[in-house]
Amino acid sequence: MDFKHEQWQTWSLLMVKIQKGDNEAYALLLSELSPLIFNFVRKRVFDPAQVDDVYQEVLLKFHRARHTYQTDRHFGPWLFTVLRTTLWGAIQKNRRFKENEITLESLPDIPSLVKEEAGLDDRLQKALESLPKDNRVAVEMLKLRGMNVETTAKELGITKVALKVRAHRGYKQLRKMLLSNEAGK
Amino acid sequence: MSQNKYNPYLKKLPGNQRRAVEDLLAQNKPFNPAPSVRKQWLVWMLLAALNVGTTLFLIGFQNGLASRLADPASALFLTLTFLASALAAWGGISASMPGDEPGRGQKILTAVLLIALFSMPFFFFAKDNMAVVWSHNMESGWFCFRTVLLVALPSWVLLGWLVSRNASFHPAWVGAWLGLSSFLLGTGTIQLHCSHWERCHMLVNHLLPLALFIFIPIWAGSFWFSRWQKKP
Repeated sequence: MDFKHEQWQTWSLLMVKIQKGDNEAYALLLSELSPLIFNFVRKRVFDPAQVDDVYQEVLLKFHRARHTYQTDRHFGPWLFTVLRTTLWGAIQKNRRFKENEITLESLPDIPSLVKEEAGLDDRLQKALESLPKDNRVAVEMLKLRGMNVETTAKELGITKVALKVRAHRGYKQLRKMLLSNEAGK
Repeated sequence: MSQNKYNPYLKKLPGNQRRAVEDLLAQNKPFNPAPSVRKQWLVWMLLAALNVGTTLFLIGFQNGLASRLADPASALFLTLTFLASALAAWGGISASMPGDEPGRGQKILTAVLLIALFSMPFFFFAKDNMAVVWSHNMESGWFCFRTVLLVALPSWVLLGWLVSRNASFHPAWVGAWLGLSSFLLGTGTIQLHCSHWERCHMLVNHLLPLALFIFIPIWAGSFWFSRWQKKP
């Protein structure tokens, strides 16, 4: 990118104003830098779907690193260090994200249980029934009915700590029973 | 939040860019610019001098230090240790400032200084054997080893506090530079106190902590110095 010396100086002066809290100078600088950053990203990111995400990431890093610009230095090297280093990091982050992304199309229409897990409901029910009453109630209210700790503790008339202890014991016993069932198969 | 007053500037931007810029403008607050690398380095010098001074006040200088420093090799070893520490501190601070990252020259110079430091005991100092070093370990060796770590830890934390306010794009490298600087500060300090200028003792008790534990500041640095990226 070939800019005249005056252009860099203008941006450097704007950075000085921004560091003093001038939001208008920031708006002006961003309005001039934004297309430059976008083009910088677009030329280096080959997947069009990624360009927007990477651009936003780069812009955000520019924003977060803006306090490190030394106003007595040339603006160019600082800007391009921020852009270059952020760009590669953002591309890698996006690539990892895309690799782990599950698209809607890849999901089956009807959720199906894996064979081994088909009997889980029954086993879980049996294990739950065999828990001591206090522990079973705690687990059922917190996990099956999805209530929060505070409300559950109030309803049962016990402290939050006591509720957590009961639930924790319940989980431990459930785990033990389910694992022993698994081993006994 | 309405950004109407910035419309004259933003109206020429496409929609996606405009939204991104508006978000940043809404987040923008007055801030203090980071001090220059030189200023931060001078603060480090002050903190390092305090650290070394306090430690030496507590443990004392070795007897006959003046005559020891008259020996060129000993004086050179001490000079190189503190010089490498200062250089590494500069490297760590500048690595955390975009556009100021240490160049190839500085990296090579630091590597050369380190190689010189680790090889000097083989060429310039009295030969001792490991058995003696281990027996010293029971008396003074462990003390030296521990002192290096005790000087390095506050030094690293203080340096880390300085650079954590910058913007490190390579946090693990920053951690490594700062770790190097801190351990070398510890090595220099103990070398002013310890009168054992023998090869194995120096390598095992004064320099080994650096080689052994340098991974800790690298690991810790990769978390600490990347926190700025998550700040709002």
